[in-house]
Amino acid sequence: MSLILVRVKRSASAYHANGRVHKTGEPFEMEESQFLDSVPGFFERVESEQIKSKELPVIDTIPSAATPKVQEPEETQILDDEPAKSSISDPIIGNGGKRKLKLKKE
Amino acid sequence: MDPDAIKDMTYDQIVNNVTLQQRLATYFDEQLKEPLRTVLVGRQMFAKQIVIGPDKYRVNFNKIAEMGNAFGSMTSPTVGSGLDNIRIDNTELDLVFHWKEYQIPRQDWQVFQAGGINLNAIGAISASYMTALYEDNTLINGWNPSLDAATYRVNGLTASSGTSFSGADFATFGNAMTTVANGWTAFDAARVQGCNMNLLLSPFNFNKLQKSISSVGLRELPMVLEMLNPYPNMPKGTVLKAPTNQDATPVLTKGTCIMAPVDPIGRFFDLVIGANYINDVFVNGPSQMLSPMGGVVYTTFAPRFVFPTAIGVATGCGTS
Repeated sequence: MSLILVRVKRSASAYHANGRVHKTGEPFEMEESQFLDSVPGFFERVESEQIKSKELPVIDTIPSAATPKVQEPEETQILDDEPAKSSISDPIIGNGGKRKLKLKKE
Repeated sequence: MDPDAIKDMTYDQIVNNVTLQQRLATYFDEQLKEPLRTVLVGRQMFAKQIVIGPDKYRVNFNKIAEMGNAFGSMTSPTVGSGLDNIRIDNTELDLVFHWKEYQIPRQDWQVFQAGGINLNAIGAISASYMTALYEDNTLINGWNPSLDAATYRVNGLTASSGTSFSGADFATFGNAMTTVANGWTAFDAARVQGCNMNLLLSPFNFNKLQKSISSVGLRELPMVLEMLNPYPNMPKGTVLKAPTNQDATPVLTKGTCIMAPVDPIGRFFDLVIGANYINDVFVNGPSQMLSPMGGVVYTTFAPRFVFPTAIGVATGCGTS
């Protein structure tokens, strides 16, 4: 028998037990087996971190001017001058098996 | 032609005046009545039922927020100082269709037509039974076409219940009464009063309650019935057994019970019925002489929950 932290998920609803009323959103403890047997969607499990996070300030996710730009990866450079052939000849490689690609050396 | 009028006609009158489909439909309607009574448990939870006819497909639905407290005084009231009004949120609900088709071999029909031999109506009976079972699932749980037990297109009693309370294992004498008492406590707190209650149980828990007997020989079921009916002048509630699906699973999960008011005026919830188990028959194919007879049994309805708090669900009523 283990107690877990849950709350009523369904809107404008309540759970009545032991003379207490737990309305939607209020966390309370319940036996895990009882939670598993309950009507699907009526309760939801709550982690203790979720309760604490209610008190934390909301993080501004809108990027500002000070947001550093993401560095894009360097482009590859084709060193061979041979023109690319149709990829139909080798659909897996996609370059006819002759074209060579090399990374640019530093 | 009125289907009831056919019953009073002679054979010749029938042959000369009614179509083949009408005869078959009338015959089957008589056959369907009794089988349908064995299901339709979900409807027994809805004391108020409004039949609007098969040509209606949408109904209005008002959710009402009640007024504030009333006033009292030993002097005459200062009328006009505290006017209040109820708030009505109006929405529209589509009626959901449930149906099942069936087919009758042409030979069977022709034998029935020629000699008046009873036509085997088991196809139509089975179709109506399965439609009713599907309706029970929708009214008791909800219509969940995605079968994920979470996304309901039509909310039934369980899917819309706004009150949950503790159940106790019915295997022990007195625990069913404890469960009902817990329900009343919850409803008192939610001000759901003035109505007697129905108690819908899974077949497993219903059977446990039926055989529950104390060490001195007291049966628990009559006591539970008494607890469900504290208002002598209101319609009586009862203990109902949920039906079982074709795959042997109960419509209401084992260990779960629903306690809901017998609400004859629709203060808390009601059921709107459009087509009420209509049985339509037709020649199912291109040939008027050889094609089999087809039929479809269908019903349309919409449960409306004005005050979902009035539907209480308890789990923990025992599963073993």
